[in-house]
Amino acid sequence: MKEIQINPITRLEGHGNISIFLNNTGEVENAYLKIPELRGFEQFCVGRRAELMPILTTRICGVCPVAHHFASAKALDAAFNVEPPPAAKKLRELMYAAYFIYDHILHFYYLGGPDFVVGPDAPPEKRNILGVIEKAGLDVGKEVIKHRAYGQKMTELIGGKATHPVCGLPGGVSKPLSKENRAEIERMAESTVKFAQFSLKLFHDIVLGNTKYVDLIKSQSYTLKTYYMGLVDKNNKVNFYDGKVRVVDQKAEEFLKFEPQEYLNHVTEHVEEWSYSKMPYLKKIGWKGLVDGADSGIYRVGPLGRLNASEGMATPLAQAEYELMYKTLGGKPVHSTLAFHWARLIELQYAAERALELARDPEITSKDVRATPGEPSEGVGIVEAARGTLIHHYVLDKDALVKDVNMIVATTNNYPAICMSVRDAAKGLIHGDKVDQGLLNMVEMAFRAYDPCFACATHFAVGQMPLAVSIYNSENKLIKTVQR
Amino acid sequence: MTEKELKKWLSDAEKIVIAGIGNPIRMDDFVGVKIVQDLHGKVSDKVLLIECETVPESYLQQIIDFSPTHILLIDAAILGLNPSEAKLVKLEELANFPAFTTHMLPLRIFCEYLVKMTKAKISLLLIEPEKTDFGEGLTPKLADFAKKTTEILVRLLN
Repeated sequence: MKEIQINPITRLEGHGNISIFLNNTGEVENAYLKIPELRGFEQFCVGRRAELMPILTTRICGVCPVAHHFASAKALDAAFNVEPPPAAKKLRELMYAAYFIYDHILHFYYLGGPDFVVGPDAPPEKRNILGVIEKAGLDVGKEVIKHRAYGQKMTELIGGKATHPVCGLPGGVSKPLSKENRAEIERMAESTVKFAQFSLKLFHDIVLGNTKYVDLIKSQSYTLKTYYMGLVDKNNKVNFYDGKVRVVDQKAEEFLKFEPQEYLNHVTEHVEEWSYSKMPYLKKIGWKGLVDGADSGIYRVGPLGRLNASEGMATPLAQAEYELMYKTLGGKPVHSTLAFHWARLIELQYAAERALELARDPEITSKDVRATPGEPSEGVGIVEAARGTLIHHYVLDKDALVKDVNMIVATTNNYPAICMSVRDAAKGLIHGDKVDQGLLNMVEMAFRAYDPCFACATHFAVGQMPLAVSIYNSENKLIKTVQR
Repeated sequence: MTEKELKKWLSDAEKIVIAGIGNPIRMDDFVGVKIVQDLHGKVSDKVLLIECETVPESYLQQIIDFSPTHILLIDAAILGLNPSEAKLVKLEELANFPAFTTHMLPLRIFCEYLVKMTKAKISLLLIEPEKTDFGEGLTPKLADFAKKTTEILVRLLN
């Protein structure tokens, strides 16, 4: 029977393509993840009416449309010099928490968690949600689907559509929340708080209860000592939707804290000839190549980046787990790439608790959800996408048409670190043309922790592999290709 | 793919989910969703129509709640056929490979998960696109295919 590969459900242009370069003694020197497609999405937006941006940019990604929607709405708030009313901000944040709920559940149960729940040595085809069901039972699968659907439903009730919401406007949101919908959201959020607790317990039982797994998390192969970045509130607690950008160093000390509109003073991008994707770094430190440490401007974002960059979580259950994670993994910051999974579950707990708090806030059903925009100018909006800090920057002309757009997406922020994590995972498994069969497992685990969001485009492929690793010798000659 | 094949596959169907997968800004990739859109109002309440666009996994609960006996996913795929040629593919024919990002969860995992949860029969109607560049609207060949397939499904589902 002929096998048909459909890769990847209409989303990705090209497949994961990693090039590993060896030095003249045959050991791994560098690894590069290639992102071959030029999206050019920013260019499509030039000349469009500004108010279309929150809707257009959700099409960048079907997995994280809410992040683009509100980064865009916030950039327009700034560009039109308008402050949304408190109820509008709360509605946006509530919908944002719902997005984190469905996104983080998707990652843990479908992708990242199976590495541990099913086991890192399990066959690759078992390391997914089906393997989790096999191990934890069908009822777990049902709860996973139910709570993902809750996140989607909450998003739909506020945003109009679950996948590509339409509620965000400069100065607020398009409609208030009805009392009936508020009650429904409260019921779903209550259930999700318990489901997040269950998910953390599952993680404790299966991962933390196994010293082999804890050792793997702490292992050198998955350790990178980088800077960390994330949005924080006025108390330096993690905030997904609003606040200042905080950066900490390798000792968890505050290195930078800045307003969104100041981002260009602190972040710049390095370009490599082999990729269309840029490599951001901290301007003040500089680009020193793909190396970690205090002298390298490379930083990490996403769940672990946010937790490291903060001084805690703003809800009680998440805060307790935050403290436990740092206690278990040897203090702050945690540099282990595999700790992204634990951090993600702590954020799931926070998102559920925060959604419940906001659903119970008396102001959430206020009818005052939009302020009148001012004159068009320039604005920056920053939110935390599930995968990390997301920046939208627009320049508008006097007629409120888009003149210039710059976006730095979450995975771009992590791109240099992903390359380094892949390189380090491969070290020890490649010596000259001898490649250990565990290579793809180790590389995939490094990948999965970040959940890279490649160009979310549309393409199908038959006869191509989803992950291919090409190994080059010191003369840049291809000596081996490993793929599944 | 012929009408006969589809008719045979649907012969014992009691409740059917038809889900269109595809990206609206990638031209022919949208063909599956277009067919589902065009079926609205033309089929009985024994058929649940879902426009999944690029995230079929976000509609799992909706599909499970409907308790279907049959699930037909309509999707564009590069199969090496001529543009607008189509193939009805069973789950077992889909390649199985590991997932490494939620942005490209393998379709086979999604389908197997659905089977576990619903016990329904699943098939994929895969259609060869002509163009999947950025842009809106189908190419004429694919638009014609979508129209004919919609007519076939209307006949079979009523």
